[in-house]
Amino acid sequence: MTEIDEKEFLTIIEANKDRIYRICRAYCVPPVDAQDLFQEVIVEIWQSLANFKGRSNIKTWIYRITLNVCFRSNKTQKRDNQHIVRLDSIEIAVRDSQSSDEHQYTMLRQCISVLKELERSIIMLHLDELSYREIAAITGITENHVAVKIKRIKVKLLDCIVSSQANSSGEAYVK
Amino acid sequence: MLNKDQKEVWSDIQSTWNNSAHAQDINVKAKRLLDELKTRVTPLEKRLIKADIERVKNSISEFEKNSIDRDLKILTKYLKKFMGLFKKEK
Repeated sequence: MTEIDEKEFLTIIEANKDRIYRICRAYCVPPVDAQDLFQEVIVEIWQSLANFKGRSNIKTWIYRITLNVCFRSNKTQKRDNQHIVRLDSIEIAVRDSQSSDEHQYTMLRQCISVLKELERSIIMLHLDELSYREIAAITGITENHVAVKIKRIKVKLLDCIVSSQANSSGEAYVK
Repeated sequence: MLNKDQKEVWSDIQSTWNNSAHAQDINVKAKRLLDELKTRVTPLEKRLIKADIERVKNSISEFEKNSIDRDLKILTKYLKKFMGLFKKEK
């Protein structure tokens, strides 16, 4: 990789680190944690940047790589212990966040995790405010199909969240 | 269409999702990261290259099989033609 490419690589990582981490955090399954997946994505971007021809939007490309790494990790984990590259140059420290935020997030993550694999990616991309066209480009399905799926997944997710909230507050949930 | 309550819950979901990455400080040490990637990625690359070679090998053998199959069909066709001519001459 040339020096210019190295600069480009660092700019891409800095600009996209939050969105990469969000997806990794939602996908990680112990013993692999979000930081492991995040590092794996960074390595994958490093290795693939030379092949990025600019035919697609860089954001779309980053999402595709991130989702691929997350899918692969989940599949590999089922078979055997996967090889993880540890990078000491990346530090991820937990901030003092309000416990209610964490509780809400855990609930959301649990509800996303019960969705099918394609549904999970679609809703995460939708939550990241990508357009139907971008979601279609990443997932390989048509824009119309994306629109239909989002409608259905939203209802599923809302049902799950409302039901979890009702359960956690001890109220009876009436659908 | 979502009703008013569902829209409110959805808006909460959206902000929970957006804030999920901000619960962490992601500190990437640029110079060190580049050095690490250059030195530590090699074993991983080797593994990936090995997997790629395996895939290429499999594809080649499939390609070879198809080519031989095609060649055999052409040879059989011409052999039949030749035998036909031979029979006529007799």
